[in-house]
Amino acid sequence: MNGDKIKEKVLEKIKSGQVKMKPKIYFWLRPLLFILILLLIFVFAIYFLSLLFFIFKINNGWTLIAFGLRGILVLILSLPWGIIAFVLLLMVILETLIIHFSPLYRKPVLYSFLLLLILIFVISFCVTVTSFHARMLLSSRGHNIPLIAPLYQGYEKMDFKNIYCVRILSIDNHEVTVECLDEPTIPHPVKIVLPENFAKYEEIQVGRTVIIFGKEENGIINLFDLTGKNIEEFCEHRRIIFPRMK
Amino acid sequence: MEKKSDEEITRMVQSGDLESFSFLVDRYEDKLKRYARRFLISPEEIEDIVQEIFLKAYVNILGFDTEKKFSAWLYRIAHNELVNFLKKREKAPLLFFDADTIFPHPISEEKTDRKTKQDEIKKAIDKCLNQIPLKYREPLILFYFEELGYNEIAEVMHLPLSTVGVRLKRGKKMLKNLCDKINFEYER
Repeated sequence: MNGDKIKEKVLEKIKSGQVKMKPKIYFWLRPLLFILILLLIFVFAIYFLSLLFFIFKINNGWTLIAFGLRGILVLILSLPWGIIAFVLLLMVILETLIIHFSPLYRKPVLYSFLLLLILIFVISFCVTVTSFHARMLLSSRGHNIPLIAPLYQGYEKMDFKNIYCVRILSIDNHEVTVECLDEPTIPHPVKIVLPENFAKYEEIQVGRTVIIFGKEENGIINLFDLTGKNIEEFCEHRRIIFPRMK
Repeated sequence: MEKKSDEEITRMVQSGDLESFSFLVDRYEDKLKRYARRFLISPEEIEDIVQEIFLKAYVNILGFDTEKKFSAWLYRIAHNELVNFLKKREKAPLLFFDADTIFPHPISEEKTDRKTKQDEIKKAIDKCLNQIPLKYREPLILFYFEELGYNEIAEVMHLPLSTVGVRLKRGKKMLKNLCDKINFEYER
């Protein structure tokens, strides 16, 4: 009989020692190693997501919301998409690993993914509140630490296109002369052409520092909008990065 | 020995009574062959796969928690062996997440269905089984032929409980459509 053949073959292989039981310790070590790998990826995901929050925080990205939809678009385009993609990849890997655990694969993937997302976001937020990344950033400036230094120095400045910190030097009808405080490539001083429907004249006062949103062409900035809010915080970070900042 | 449960026999094997493993082979070889036959045609392939399942079970037996059901654990090994074998043969793409495992679905256990229509469905499955995609075919087989519950199927296939219900429902619908096409009487 076929069945007997199977039984015979199986028992023969067992008795002859061709197949052996894996030792009990293997079934202890395997999940342990699995959990260690999971934890490592989890920590990496938290590290990079908190770094993302930190970059956003020190650059005061929220300031750009004052410029409306165009400002939000600039903000989106200047996000560190490399880090975002890496965090997403780590989360997908984590999800594929955690659904091997019995209580989790019994629930829809959406639930475990949301749980993971909330957990990583909350812990990353807590890490951002601490001085961890600030200390890492400072130490990366002084020392050429491999991997860490290029990571922090490469991402510490979000490239907000067409956004400048300026000090108003003079006002003449629709033309305002300013000195750009944070962008070495902009001529010094530079003229700003106000738009036709400009309504924020109260923000323009000689000697005042403002954040402007406008496109520079041939030494003239065509202004889209400006804001006098959050100047200190927004420009503080740029003061550290840009040598021209006064 | 006949009165002993699978889990009790497994405990004996774990403590070194290797001969007892033959009782587990006796109990499950027909079931596993029947299960494998639903996916494979060649008798040689079926025999090889079943043998491999038993050997895998033996190799990993110290990792089995005797507080749990042995049948679900063994079918999990069988499921993995068959899926790997079929994937290798059909060169199926690797999917991280199946769409119907992502979102929650309402669970509707088909208790009455199982008792009243089991024979009808078994005949229908026999007739049209090969035309149903694997992911729907397997829960149907485990539910109607191997008589595993939703929980055990979820355990064997590593699926959310609600997905088991959805796949059974969709599998039955496909079965009905296929049977309609070949004019086979089913659920009329």
